[in-house]
Parts: sequence; structure tokens; C-alpha cells
Amino acid sequence: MKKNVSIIQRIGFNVAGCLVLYVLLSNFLFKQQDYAWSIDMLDDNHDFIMDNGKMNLQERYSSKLGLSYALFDSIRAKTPDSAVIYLPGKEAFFPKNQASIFTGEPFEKMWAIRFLYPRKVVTEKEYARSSYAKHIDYVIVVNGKGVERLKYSLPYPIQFGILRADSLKLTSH
Amino acid sequence: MILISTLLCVLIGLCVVRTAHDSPSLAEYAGLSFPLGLFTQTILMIALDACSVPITPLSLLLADGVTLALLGYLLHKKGVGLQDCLPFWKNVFQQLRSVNLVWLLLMGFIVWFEYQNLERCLFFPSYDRDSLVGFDTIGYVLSQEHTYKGLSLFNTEYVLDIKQTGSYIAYAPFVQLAYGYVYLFGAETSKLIPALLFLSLLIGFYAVMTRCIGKTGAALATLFLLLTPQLLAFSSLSSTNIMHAVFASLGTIYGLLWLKSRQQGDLALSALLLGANCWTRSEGILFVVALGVPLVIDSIKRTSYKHVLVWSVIALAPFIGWTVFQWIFDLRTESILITHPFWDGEKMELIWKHLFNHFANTFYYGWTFWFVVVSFVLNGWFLIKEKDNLTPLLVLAGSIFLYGMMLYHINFVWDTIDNVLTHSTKRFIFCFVPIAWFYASTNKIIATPLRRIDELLTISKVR
Repeated sequence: MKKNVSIIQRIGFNVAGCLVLYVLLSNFLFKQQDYAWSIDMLDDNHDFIMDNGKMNLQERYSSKLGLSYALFDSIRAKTPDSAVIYLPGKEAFFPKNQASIFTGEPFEKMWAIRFLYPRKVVTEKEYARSSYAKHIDYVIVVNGKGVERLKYSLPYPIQFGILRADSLKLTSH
Repeated sequence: MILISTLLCVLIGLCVVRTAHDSPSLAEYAGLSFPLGLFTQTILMIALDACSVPITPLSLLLADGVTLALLGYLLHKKGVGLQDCLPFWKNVFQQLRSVNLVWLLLMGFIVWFEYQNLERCLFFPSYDRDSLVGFDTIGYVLSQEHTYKGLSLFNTEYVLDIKQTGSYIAYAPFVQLAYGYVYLFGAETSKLIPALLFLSLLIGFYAVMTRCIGKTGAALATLFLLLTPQLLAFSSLSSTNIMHAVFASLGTIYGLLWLKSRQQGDLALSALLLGANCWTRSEGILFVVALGVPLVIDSIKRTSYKHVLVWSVIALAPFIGWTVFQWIFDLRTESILITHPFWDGEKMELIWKHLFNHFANTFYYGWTFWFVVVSFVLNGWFLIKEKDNLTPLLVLAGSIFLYGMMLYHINFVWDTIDNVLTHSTKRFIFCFVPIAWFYASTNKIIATPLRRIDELLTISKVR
């Protein structure tokens, strides 16, 4: 009999404990602004994934990196694996006193290598010092910057482009 | 292939855990197998590379085969055989019989929140700066070029600034190698690594806390750990800090457990985890020093030095090995450490002011460090009378102090000190969060009621 009462008491403790815990967690911990932030962050991401679960890898990259990723995706499509590519500097992607359409650090060499490998990348920062500068095949033009690295003059100004360094041929490969 | 390679990682980890520890719990197996298995894989990758063997799936699988054979031999020598795996389901059933409704509710929350976290980690590819400018890129290129020391990214003719101060070439290699490992076996992104490591932290933390405060208290502490705001936010990114926190915190906690339990396995796991911590970030050596001090004092008191010697050799071997590898293959940058003694009161004040502000910031760490303060004050009587939980308190405080002193001795040439203290420092503090919860929850004033509650709630006791 004593053992049965004891088990009933334990069950009672369990039910009471659950109720108390649920009230405490939902009214205090989960409502505290910083923990609520954590939970909301999880919920928001979960909702996004439920709505966009069929996104492929490129779309998922774009959802976080925006046009920066789209630019590199385009460069990959239009240049061969063996290409040596010139990338303009930070001021091309993020001009002073102007809002930029880019996010992240697409002007950084390692950033670019992640998406363009096995292509070689030469950035504006190292252009004067890099032995690869002599072998640039393609020039990326961003906000008009980069045209100065072309070996020819353009018949008209362009703001964005993926151009061959030595001649104005079409860049499909 | 990625599934096979992950399972292989876990299998190696299981063998490592069982070789190190005579009686790990199911949760310890679950929490430590992947991290230790992955640590072993990265050691194998560097060993192959040092011998100029291309790091390919085939060479890794062969190395894994040799490793498993060696671990199998060690287990056989310990008298462990396949018959020891048979009681697995009996153990699971016994554990399930002792659960209670409160524990189930807490685990329900933990499973739901971690499911959402795992989902977002695996869904989104790496997009944070440190990953794309460093770790993920290095891992990806490693998988294409099958070498670490000969990586094109480390060639100054190609990446001219790779040997500048603060460059990723000098970082300890665990994260880069781990990413390279999954890319080698065909993963589209490296996010499986941070996803599984954070999950392992939660399970491993739960396992050690269960030993100290019972499963209900352990579940509550694990829920708080999981919901720590910035820890949770960074857990789905690909930076080194969470991964470092897994090894540093669990390694420290296992060392503290050994001082109470005297189970050899706890000391062995501590050594392995702290070795992996130095393999992830070199500054992790401060945790080896912080824990080493009470271990050395303990060994002097007991006039028994073998354990602490073996512990320190295992814990420091990856740090020494990586330093030697860097020297031999010229993967170094100019040192950022100030090695001569100096006094800069302004710098010291700035560092401690930032650290204090970070610890007090509930947006970063929730109630973690405020709970430490409350628990410390409430436990004051037992601390003074019985020196209750004094060693964990000193190790926690000591590691924070060492971190502050390390920052003081850094020459901030690659960025402003303000920027580093504002952004990078808050991520290193992730290592202290699990240790803080361990200390605060195992104080007698907190642990005793939690164990009692766990006993009262257990409907059917496991004999």
C-alpha cells in the first residue's frame, strides 16, 4: 500500500511539476527579451525554410549573399575553368556616399576564389605586384570600374560587365 | 559517400571514446563520438599531408582502416569485445524506464529548438565573412588540390598577402581540415560540420550534467545552454568559435569531473578534448594551463605524477605538432604576441571593461553569467565551510583571467583593439558558457535540490 501511494505521489509530482515548469518557461524564460529573440530567430528561419524548402544551392546562396553571389555565378557561367580574372577593388562595389547593391565582401580575393575556383583571381589591391596580372583573360567591370584594365577602348561606357581583357569578343565558352 | 564518411567518423569516435573510458554512458557515446572521430580524421589528414600522400577519399579510407584496426587492437587488449555492444538496447530501455514527465517536457523543448537550429544550419550554405574569406574556402580548395601544405592559396606568388599578420594560414587547422573532409566526400556545403558539432555539444553537456545533478536538472541546464542568444545565433554559422567551445568546455569539464570521480576515463577524455581544443584554435592552450594548475597541485598532494604527465602530453601534443608542421612547411605569419613584459594601464582597463560588459550583456549570453553570480552568492556558506566547488570556480575564473592577459599581450596590427574587443572577444567567450553552467549548477545549493527533485519525479527507479 505504501509503495502504491508513493508511486501515486510521484505521478502527482510529475503532473504538478510539468504544469509549474510550463507556466514558468512560457511566462518568464521564453518571454524574456533575449531568449525570446533566440526563439523568434529559430521560428522565422523555420517558416522561411518551410516556404522555400525546394530552393537549390544557388538560390540558397543568393538568399544570403544577394547580388554578390549572382555576380560570381554569372562569372562562372561565362568564363572557362582556366581563366585568370581581374576583380576591381572595394570602392567599385561600395562607392563612397552611395548605397550599394552588393553585400558581403565580393572584392576580397579569398571570397572570390570560393566561388570561382579553379579560375585564378587578381584583385585591384595586388594588380601592381602579382605575376598573374600579365595573364588576365577576363575583366569584371563593376560600377564602371575595371575598364582601365582592358587592353582596348570601349566604344561606349558600361557599368557592369564580364569582358575579355584583350578583345571585345562575346564571352560565352 | 558523405553518409558513409560521417558514419565512419562516428565509428572511429565511438572506438576512441571506449578506448579512453571504461564505462561511458549512452549520452557520452552520442555526444563525444562525432567530435573525437572528426578530430582523429583531421589528424590523419595532416599526417598524410606531412608524408606527402595526397589527401583523397581513398587514402583517407585506408588510413581510417588502419586506425580502426589499431583501435580494435587496443580495445581487445582492454578485454572489450562485440559482446559488450549487446546490452545496448537493454541499457536504453533501462534509461527510458527512469524518465519523468518534467524531463520529457524539457527534452521536448530541447529537441524542437535544436531541430529548428539544425534545419537552418543545414539549409543555408556558409555566408559569414570568416568562412568565405578563410576557413570554408581553404577547406574547399583542399578538397580539390588534395594537400594542405601545398595549397595554392598559401603560395605568396598567387595570394600575395597570405603571410600577413592575422592571415588564415596561421590558424590551427581543425576547421579547415574538417570542411575539406566533407567536401572530399561530395558534400555541397560544409554546414554538416558545425551542425553536428553543436548537436554534440548539447548531448555531451547533457551527459556530464546528468552525472552531477540528475537528468532533470541536466535537461534544464541544457535548455538554457541551447537558448543562449549569441551562442545559438553563431551555432549555424561556420566560424571556429562554436567548434572551439565544444572542445574547450567539455575538455575542461571532464578534467574537473576527474578531480571528483577519479575515473581514469574522465581524465583521458579531458586530455583528448583539450588537445582537440588546441587543434581548433591555438589560444585554446589557456584552457590547458587553467585546468593544468589544479591538476598539478592535486598530483603534488597525492605524490602521483604519472596521470598529470600523460594528460599534459596528450593535451599539448596537437599544439606542438601543429607548431612543428607550420615551421617545417612555412605556414607562419609574423607573430602578434608581445613577449616582453610591459605595462599599459589604458589597454588593461579597456580590455577588462569590454570583458565585463560582454559578460553582463544578456543579449549575448542570456542569464548565464548572472546565474553564476547568484549561484556563487547563494553557495557562499558551503564555499567557505566546505570549499564546495572551489576548483571549478577557480578554473573558470582562471581561464577568464588568462584570456584577458592573452588579449593584453596581443599586438593589434590587423584591426583596431576596439573592433577586436567588440566583435571577436564576444565569440571567444562562448567557450566559458558551458563551463559557467556546469559550475553554477553543480554548486551544492543548486545541485542538492535538483538531485532531490529528480529522485522525487522518477516514477520507476532503475536498479
